[in-house]
Amino acid sequence: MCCSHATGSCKSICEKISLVDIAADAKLRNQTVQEVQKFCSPQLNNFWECLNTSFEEMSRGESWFGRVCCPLPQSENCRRACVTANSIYDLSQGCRKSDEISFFNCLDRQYVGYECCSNARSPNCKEACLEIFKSRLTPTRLQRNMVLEQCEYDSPKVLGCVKNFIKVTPATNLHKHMKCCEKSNKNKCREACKEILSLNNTLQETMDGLQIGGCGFPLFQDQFWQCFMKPVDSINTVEISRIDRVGMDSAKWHCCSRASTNECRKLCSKTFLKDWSTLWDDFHLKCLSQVAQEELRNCIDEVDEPCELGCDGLSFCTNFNNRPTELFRSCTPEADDAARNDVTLWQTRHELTLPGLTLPLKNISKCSPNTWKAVACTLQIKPCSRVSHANQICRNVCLNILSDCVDWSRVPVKHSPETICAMLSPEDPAVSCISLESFLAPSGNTYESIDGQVSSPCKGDPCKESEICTVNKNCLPGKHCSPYKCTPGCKLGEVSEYLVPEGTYVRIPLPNNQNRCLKICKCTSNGIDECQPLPCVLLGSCWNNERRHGEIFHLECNKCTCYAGEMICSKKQCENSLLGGRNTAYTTLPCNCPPHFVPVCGRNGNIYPSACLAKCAGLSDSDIEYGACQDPCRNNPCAIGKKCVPDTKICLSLKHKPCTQFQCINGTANCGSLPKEPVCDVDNKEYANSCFLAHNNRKFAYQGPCLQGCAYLGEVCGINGKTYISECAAIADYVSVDYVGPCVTVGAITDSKTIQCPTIKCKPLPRADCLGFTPPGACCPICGGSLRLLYSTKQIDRALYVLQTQNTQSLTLKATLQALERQIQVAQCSLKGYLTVEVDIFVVVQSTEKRPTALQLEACVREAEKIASLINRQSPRVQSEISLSSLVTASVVHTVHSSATITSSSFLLILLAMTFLLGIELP
Amino acid sequence: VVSGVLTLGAEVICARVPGLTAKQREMCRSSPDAMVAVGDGVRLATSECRHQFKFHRWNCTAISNPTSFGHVVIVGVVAGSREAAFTYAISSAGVAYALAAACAKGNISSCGCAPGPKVKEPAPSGWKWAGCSVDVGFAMRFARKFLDARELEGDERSLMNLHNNKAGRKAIKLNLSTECKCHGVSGSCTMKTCWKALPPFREIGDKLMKKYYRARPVALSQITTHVTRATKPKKHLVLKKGKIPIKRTPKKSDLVFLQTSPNYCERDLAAGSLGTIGRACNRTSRGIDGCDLMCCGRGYNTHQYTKTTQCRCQFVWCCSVNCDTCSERTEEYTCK
Repeated sequence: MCCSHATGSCKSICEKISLVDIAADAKLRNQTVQEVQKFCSPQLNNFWECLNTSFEEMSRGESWFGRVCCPLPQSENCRRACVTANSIYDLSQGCRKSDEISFFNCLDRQYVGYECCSNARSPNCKEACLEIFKSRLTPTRLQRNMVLEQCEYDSPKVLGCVKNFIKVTPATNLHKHMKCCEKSNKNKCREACKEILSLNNTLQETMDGLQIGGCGFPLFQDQFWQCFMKPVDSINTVEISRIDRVGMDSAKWHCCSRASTNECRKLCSKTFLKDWSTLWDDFHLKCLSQVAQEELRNCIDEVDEPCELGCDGLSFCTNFNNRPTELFRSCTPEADDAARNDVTLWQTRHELTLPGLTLPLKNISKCSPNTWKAVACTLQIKPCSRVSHANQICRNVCLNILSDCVDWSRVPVKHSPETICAMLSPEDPAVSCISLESFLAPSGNTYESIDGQVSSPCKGDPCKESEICTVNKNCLPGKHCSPYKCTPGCKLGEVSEYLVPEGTYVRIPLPNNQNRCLKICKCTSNGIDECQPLPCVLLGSCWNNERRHGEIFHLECNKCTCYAGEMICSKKQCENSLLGGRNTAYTTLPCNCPPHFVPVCGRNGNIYPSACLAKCAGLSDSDIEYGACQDPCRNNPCAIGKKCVPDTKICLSLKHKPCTQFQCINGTANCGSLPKEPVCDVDNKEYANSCFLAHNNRKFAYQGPCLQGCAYLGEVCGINGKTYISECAAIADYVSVDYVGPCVTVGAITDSKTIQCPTIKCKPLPRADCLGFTPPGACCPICGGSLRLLYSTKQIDRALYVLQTQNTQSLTLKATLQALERQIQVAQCSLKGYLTVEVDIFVVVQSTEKRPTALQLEACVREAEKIASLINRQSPRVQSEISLSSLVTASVVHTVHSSATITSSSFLLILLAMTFLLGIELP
Repeated sequence: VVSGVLTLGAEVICARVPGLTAKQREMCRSSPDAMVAVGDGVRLATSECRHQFKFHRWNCTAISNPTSFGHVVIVGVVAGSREAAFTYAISSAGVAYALAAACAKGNISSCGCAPGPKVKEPAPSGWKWAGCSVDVGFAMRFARKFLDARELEGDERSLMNLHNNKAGRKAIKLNLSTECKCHGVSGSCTMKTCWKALPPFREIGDKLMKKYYRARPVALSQITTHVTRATKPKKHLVLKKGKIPIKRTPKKSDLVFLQTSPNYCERDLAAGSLGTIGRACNRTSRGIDGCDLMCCGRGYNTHQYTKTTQCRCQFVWCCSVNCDTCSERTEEYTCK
């Protein structure tokens, strides 16, 4: 400015003048002039002229309202323009609005004040009013009261426009923000913060206090202020983003408890809950690639690449073709190509790359080329062992191939085949591993022409990214229909590729969670939504720590397991007991109930062959109704104007009350707006939902779409002891047919595949030597993979507690069976099941063909074993869905034997038992 | 002041942050979680700018201002200069970067991983696009809405700032790295899943420095659209050749500036230069950080002092570290 006209000491003192200060204070101005006169000679005309003009302009604009804002501008030019300005227009040269936002905000505020205060009728009021606007901070109590006093009587307009500026809001719960005080890097601020937050003043005063107290203006860059912007509620309940709500991969999260070290467990949990983007590399390196974490790795692989039946159609790994009943994780053309590339790589580079180590190879086209090919194919196609679905190559194979084909002369001494194989293969030979022998030659399968017999229509995932593929059960061979259906689904996490169909209830972990607590959510058309927290479960032990969580053992003849502190056992009746010796009243039925057939209907919707058996299963007298679960609508339970349509279900927990077996349809309801839940009537006609059926006055036959390939007329008895109006009705209820005609008797329970009722004529088995079972309580044996599943009622009760009375469809037996059936990929197998009198779930996977071949029967048996393995290993697929999460163990019970299995060693006892059994059967 | 707001949270703070336009305050109130990321972005940009210009005469001390939110500060940078261009670009890039990073961590309610279909490029065989790709789209949109809301005038300075903001955002989008996870144990990595991730911010800083060296001078131009006389002539920037504007528009990813920078040697606050008095310089270097060029020929002061450090540290069982103190005489050079 004027300083450019001066030199030397005069110039330096000129530069030190703060325009803003002297513009505000006239006295200071005079002082400054005196100071300057000391250093600057009167000869410097230009200088003095310039200075005087500036001072003139300054005094001219003294009463301008904007003067008080002059310290604010960032640029020198603008400040100068401000101090010499008389009105806003004088600023246009020096100040640019975009560059001086705070300054212009201040001017706006002053203008409002100027307008407001000009309404004052008395000078005192005007002064008090201006005081309010001058400061950028909140008006103090003193100032507020001044205005009220002075302006109350004669200037109501002033009071009106000042009201907004003097309004204050009381603050509550300021102590919740106390932790933010530590975030500041200034000591003064920290102290002031702690002091002010404990005072609980008004919000405005608190902010002022913090600003003046050393924390400065609130800026987003400052971590101290950022802390206040973040929501302050307790960590567990705040879910900000989609990633918080659903997690990164909530299906794989369930695997984290399988990690063998604490570090990996925590890393796993953090990675899959929220921090996948930053932690995946670390997690991969430290945990997934370590041999010791085999269980964790296996579990995670389960989610993306479950073990599925059958492999065929490969061009390189041809020894893997023609294996329709073996399990593989990724029998795909991509894996085939990858195996081919691997072998080429090894051949050309002559080295084998392992994690952290490169081994030089001899020429592998000369050294066991077949074995190397089998190794490459195994690593990419990943065959699963039958029971535990493990993937590692057995150690003996590893030792052989490394000792023979690695050029040990070039490897540092510290490595040897033993040390390297210790890293790659399981140490314990009892742990199931893959022996390469069966893959060194083409499949030794003797099944005649496989094509078309067994197919997996969903292989290779033909559906779009957000859709889930399910086998179309209603498509019979020869008919023109698609073998699979694509339905919309939800991903279980931002990076997850595991889908569940719409309408499924799932379990998602809570974010930031220490105790592995979960919540129930529903898969809706908008993704995972409608979440509610579940009561947290401690995976504690049972019986005063005698049995750990997850431990499986036997109590006499009953299989038991400890699950989260709950002891779950089957209720089989044992022939011999430790205390009483052989039980002379043994009838094979639970509680030694006599095998009389007087069916009763339980409140849970299940039918029991007699009241004795119902009570043995835990029902009380009030839970039982005599008569075989007949038409639930017979007593007209609905109000007038509503029609009753049956909606039968079996509630797995006795606490599930009421377990209504019908629906009341409003006569005036708009059926099109209700969800699509198809039902079938007795004339084999399908309706979109029960509402349409009711409005058309049809007679209900069964839930679900009308089925084909079954008889829809003629009573049959199901394996669960319930009489169905037709075969199709039984199949729609996931129940196999025991015999034709109404149910008349209950069969003895054994471990074999025998005909249990002498008076009943059973259908002949498709193959006499098939693997199968006689379902407990039924009369006739069936071919198919048979399982007995134990479930935890407490698990169900927890879900019930959260879901209350709405939406408890997921806690019925049918939901569980539906969810299990979804795991079956072979189109020619279907799943059936029922709740037995021994309080476990009997499940059978049968062939859908009328005359199944040996291969088809075998495939279904393998599918059942696969499901048993999923449940026994508590796979994430089982743990993620509410309907499956209560299943705790599965026992494979199918057998070839057609005679009773011998439990006692004495031949006499067998004879006695048999005569006794036969004796009871006499009518 | 809204009654009913009882907590010391976003509402109150957004009203008090200095230097925000009305539109920015509105965005602050509606997405406080995103504002935290914006703040992180500004911090990131500040430190990166300082790092890049550490040994230049203008060393980016201008960029952070404790009394106002906003990356543009007149003190210390000449408005419309190359340096201002860089300042705007790096700030815009920093904000977009921090927003994308916060999305991937689940810290912002309105974004997460990039919504599918994941990436527009087809994947080569054996690859799959999966995992959590950064939601660059959200980050860029939010950064644009927030930072561009500052430019109220629409004059040539505004156009320059908007252009440079965009160049900064583009630097993020074009420099995403591809991270992959291999499948299979064989170590050959022929099958993998890949996703787009953010590179280290240093890379973005380096790229923008290159753009800084190649920044183009521009001027304001008005075109009249031939369609109707009723349409107002639209202002836009055109490249200059020497002093003459030519008809070409600058590339979207280039930085542009309006006036040539001063040499930043002398202190001239009105013009925006802090000068180099007191800056540290390197006696042996012949580059811009050398004492000749840095001090603009004024000469330098040598300051000899004894530097004491901890040396020969040893770990003692258990569990302390014992160190000796070494001292040496060193020299430090500062410009006159």
